[in-house]
Amino acid sequence: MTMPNPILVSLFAVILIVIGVLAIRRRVLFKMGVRNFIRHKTHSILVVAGLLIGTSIISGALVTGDSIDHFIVKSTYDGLGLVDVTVSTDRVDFFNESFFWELRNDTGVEEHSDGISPTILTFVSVEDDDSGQFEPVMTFVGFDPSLDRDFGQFTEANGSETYAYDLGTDEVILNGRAADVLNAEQGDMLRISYRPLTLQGGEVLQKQFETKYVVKDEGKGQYGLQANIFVRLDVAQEMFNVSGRINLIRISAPGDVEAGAGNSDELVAAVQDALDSSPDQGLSELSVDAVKKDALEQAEETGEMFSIFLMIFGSFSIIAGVILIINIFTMLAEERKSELGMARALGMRKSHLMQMFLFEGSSYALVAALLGTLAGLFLAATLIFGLNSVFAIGEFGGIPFRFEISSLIDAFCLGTIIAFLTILVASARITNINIVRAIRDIEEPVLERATRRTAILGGVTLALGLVAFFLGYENLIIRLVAPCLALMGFAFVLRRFTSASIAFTISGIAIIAYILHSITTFFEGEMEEMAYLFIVSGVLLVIAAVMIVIFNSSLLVRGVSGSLARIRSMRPIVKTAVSHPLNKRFRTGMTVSMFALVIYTIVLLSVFSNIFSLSVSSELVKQGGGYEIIGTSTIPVSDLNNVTVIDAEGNPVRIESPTLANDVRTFEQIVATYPNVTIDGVPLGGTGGGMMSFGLGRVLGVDNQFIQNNQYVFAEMLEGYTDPHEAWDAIQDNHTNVIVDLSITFAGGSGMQGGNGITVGDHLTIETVNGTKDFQIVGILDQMLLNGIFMTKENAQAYFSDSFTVHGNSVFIFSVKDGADAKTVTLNLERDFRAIGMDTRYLKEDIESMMEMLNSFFLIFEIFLGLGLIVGIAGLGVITIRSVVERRQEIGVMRAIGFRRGMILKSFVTEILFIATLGIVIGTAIGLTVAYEIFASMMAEEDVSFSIPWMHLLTITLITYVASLACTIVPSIKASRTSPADALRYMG
Amino acid sequence: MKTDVIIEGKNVHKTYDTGRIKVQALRGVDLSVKRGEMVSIMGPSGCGKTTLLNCFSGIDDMTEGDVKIEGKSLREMSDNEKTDHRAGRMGFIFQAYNLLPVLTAVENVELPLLVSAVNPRMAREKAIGILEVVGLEKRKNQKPAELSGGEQQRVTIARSLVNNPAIVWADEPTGNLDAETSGQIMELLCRMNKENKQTFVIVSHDPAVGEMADRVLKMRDGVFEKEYVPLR
Ligand SMILES: Nc1ncnc2c1ncn2[C@@H]1O[C@H](COP(=O)(O)OP(=O)(O)O)[C@@H](O)[C@H]1O
Ligand SMILES: [Mg+2]
Repeated sequence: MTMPNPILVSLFAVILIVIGVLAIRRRVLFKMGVRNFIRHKTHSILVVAGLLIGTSIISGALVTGDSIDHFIVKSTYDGLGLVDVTVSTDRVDFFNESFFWELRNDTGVEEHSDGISPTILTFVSVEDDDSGQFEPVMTFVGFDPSLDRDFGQFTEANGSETYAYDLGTDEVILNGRAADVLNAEQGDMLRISYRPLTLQGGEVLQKQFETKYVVKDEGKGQYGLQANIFVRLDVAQEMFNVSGRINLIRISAPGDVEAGAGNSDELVAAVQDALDSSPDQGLSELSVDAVKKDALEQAEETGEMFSIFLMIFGSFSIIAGVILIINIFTMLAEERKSELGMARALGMRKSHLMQMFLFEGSSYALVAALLGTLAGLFLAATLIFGLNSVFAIGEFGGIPFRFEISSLIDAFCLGTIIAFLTILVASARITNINIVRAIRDIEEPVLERATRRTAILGGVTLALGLVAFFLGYENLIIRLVAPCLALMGFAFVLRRFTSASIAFTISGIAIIAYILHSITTFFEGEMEEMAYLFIVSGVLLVIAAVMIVIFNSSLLVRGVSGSLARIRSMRPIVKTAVSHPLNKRFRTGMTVSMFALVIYTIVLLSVFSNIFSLSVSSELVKQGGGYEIIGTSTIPVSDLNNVTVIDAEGNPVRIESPTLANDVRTFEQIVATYPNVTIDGVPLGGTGGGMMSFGLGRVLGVDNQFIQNNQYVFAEMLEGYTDPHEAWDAIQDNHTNVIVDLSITFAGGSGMQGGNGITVGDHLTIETVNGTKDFQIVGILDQMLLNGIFMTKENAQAYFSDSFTVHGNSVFIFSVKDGADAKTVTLNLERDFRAIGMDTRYLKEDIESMMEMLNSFFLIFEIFLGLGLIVGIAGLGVITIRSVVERRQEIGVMRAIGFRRGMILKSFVTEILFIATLGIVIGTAIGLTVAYEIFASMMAEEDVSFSIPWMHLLTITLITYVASLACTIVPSIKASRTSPADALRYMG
Repeated sequence: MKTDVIIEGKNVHKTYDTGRIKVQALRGVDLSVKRGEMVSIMGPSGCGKTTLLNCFSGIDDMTEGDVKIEGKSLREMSDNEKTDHRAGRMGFIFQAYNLLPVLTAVENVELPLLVSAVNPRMAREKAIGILEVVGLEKRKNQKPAELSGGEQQRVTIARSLVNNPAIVWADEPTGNLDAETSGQIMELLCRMNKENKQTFVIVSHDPAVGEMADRVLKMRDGVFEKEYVPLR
């Protein structure tokens, strides 16, 4: 079990103790504070609802991280079972089985392991003669049932267990996944197509097996979480003509599935020792990996990364929550102004009042943090449900919903701490009142000009900002914030000489200009720093924009009433509706900021997801290079037109494909292999254990015909090249030149724009049969559907020779004749060439489903961000409730001089819509501007066009309006029902 | 039709029912006011003056009886009809809280016109004109909080007159003011009454106010006690 964060817990404890001690010392204040909390029910509910969002985002992010962590951990345990350490070749090749015996007899290894088994792991194509189903790529595991004893038994469907000692030479075990894809049952005859090491060119062997067992996807049966076929090791060795050789040793460290990982370090050391001291010369390429331990560490990292990602995006909602607290407390103080003034007059100290608010606020904070933590569970469950339905993770059982108690404690503590600190600041601010004005409930005067004190304070801030800027220039956050601070200070100095509106407008515009400038100049740091810059700049931009708007309210009023006044009946309504919020600048500014912050993130995300989707889809379509279908064969063949299957009886049968003959215009044949590729020492995508990687480190050997025919476009070419042919010539002329596809620039990068900086002229280090060799990138193709490192077929064969024969594969790209249905051709090709394990993809369909996935993924995040809107809307609700009370007499006067009930209602609605609109407009404007700036500075040269998802933004706006109205309509109706006689009597 | 009756209330009762107690604020009031007349209703605090004004002007409902304003029965009018009638034909002056604090003086004054859908430019012109009449055109862009009590009350008067109402209802218009300012305000009201031939119903407990009226009605415990014409 993980422990809660000690810092958070102790801070929380300190807060509790402080409140506790104060409460005991001032019991009366404590009682007053808590009573105020209980007194106004609706009000309290709204406040808590607004406050809990922040905590729920924190808790939801942590719990989602927990679940993803747990999912990967579970997949690791399931996929590896008792296996903790593997010995395998990176350059997919075979080694002597004798090394297995050396290890088995090694006392060091013996001491640190409780199981070791020799294995052949490869891929074959399988056809079920009884069901008629076939599967081009299946994991083929050769194991020795008696040596494999220590890794447990297989579980049959009926629950009985077996070590499968009785597995015959022409019998196999299918696991559940394999049986599913083949629709196979026990007893089914399977035809397996494969290629032994010694055979090359166009011949494929077939062998018939009977399905002896269909076992559950449990224990070792689900090794690698793949569709597995198990055969006897000696059978596999004979088939592939590698007698006495294997390509994988699986070793278990002492302890069960979970405990083993913790004991694998000693085991790895012991195996490494044995390896180093082995007399066998053919072992130099072997690598020893603590596969389980590595995967578990990866799991934790991935989970954490996800939590941080969610929190970064959610931070705007958390900040909106903080603003809500300040706003609510300011209003509470206004509401109780005369009460407070009276208390002060009667001898209560400022600090007493502050404590009273602190007690009340802490009640809100605690209740909200508690509910927020629980709401976070629900939020995480929803997110995970969304992720599960977007990604077809279902076949791995889906991400389970899991949480650590420690995450909930962390979220609760952090939520409380944030709320408490905010309340502390807010209380200090609001208890600073003028007693006389408070008692007589007179509005605080709005000073047009700054007092001397404020001006001096502004000057100090200005100086501090400048000093910080020069001293902390290296720190990007300081470089961003310090000038803004200085400009704010400057505004207060300026205010001594000119009106507030001029001062704040000038400084607001300057701040916005500076931040936009910053975005284009220094926002390209590390991902983590970038995230903070993104948050801070967003908040600053919103504050500056809101400041400008609020301090130019008279212009705004004129504009709004001017445009709405066309409708006669709306004139008096608009007038009163707009005047109120602009008179309460602080309150309105805060509420507008809440909306603007959240809308800002949503707009930014939706613009980028839109640009990203559009560019990806247009790119991908363009990327086809003139081909519609890509096929990859498990068994490499040199000529698709000339493939002969030697069937189980030994008769050669040539593969005839009418589809290939009639419906395909042209096709290219490319050989592919998976060597170890590194860039500056960092491996590129390759994995150990003989597993196929995603093709990131794949080498593609292309022939002259491909070079002549392909229409692929280059994203980048070595300087001096003008025509694609020059790049293709370069790889023919010089054997150490290669061309790569665009995906290589994404390898290892963590942002949306891969950040690894790989470009033309860079060197790749590739392990070849003649040792490691350096290759220069002379061109980067503007496509990533056919991914790999391109070199000529001759070179590839020279560098990698026999690794093509067993583990390499062939890649075919097909161009379909006009009139032929590409989808049907795709399916037919896969069926016709099932014997070589042809796996075909119809590119258009692939792209479409990928786009759908991407879009849903973005939508999930947008909904997550949208939660922040609840904060803004709750804020509006609180304001409205407060306004109804505050303006009772005004409403009475308005009714008396002829405002109908409906007009009062409309006036409130207009006011709410006005505030929401300000927030939406400011948020959208800033979001679009920032999106454009980022786009222009980082993506402009990649020929993607900037486009705005207007319909999408409109939908968001509508949702915001509807939700805002839904939350404020009840108090507004209540306001309109105010009886004028009663309201006017209020004054006595 | 020089002497036509503009306000005619018969047997008006008003009982406040707060649930716990019932207060009979009006117990059968008969009141007729002629067009152009300035009537003052006087009496001690709590005798039902405000209630009478509210019921007769249609701001509040009565429990029994009926009031006809310009021949139309309040009982037969819907809330919206009564509201529109107030917007078009009546002006109001209260003791305090008369003005909307967020609007400037001129915006407050023009509001009834905007409610009656008058063209905004004309409304603004008219509002400024009437502010001139009450001597406040220089203060037109100030908000109520920036005006003195007397000035605020003058803005209120301007507002109550801006739509050229048939009836102006005033509830303790001088209640919050010192004697000198009260005198000025009352003079202003009298002048308006004379110049525009508008009907004024002024509620007050201040004898100085009564002296300016054409007719004074004395109230006690929800009924009229006596009626007289002040000597001038
Ligand atoms: N809304 C109300 N609920 C209960 N009683 C009321 C209400 N309004 C007025 N009253 C009572 O009705 C009586 C008359 O009040 P009011 O008309 O305000 O008197 P005045 O204006 O002459 O001072 C008083 O006793 C007062 O307490
Ligand atoms: Mg009264």
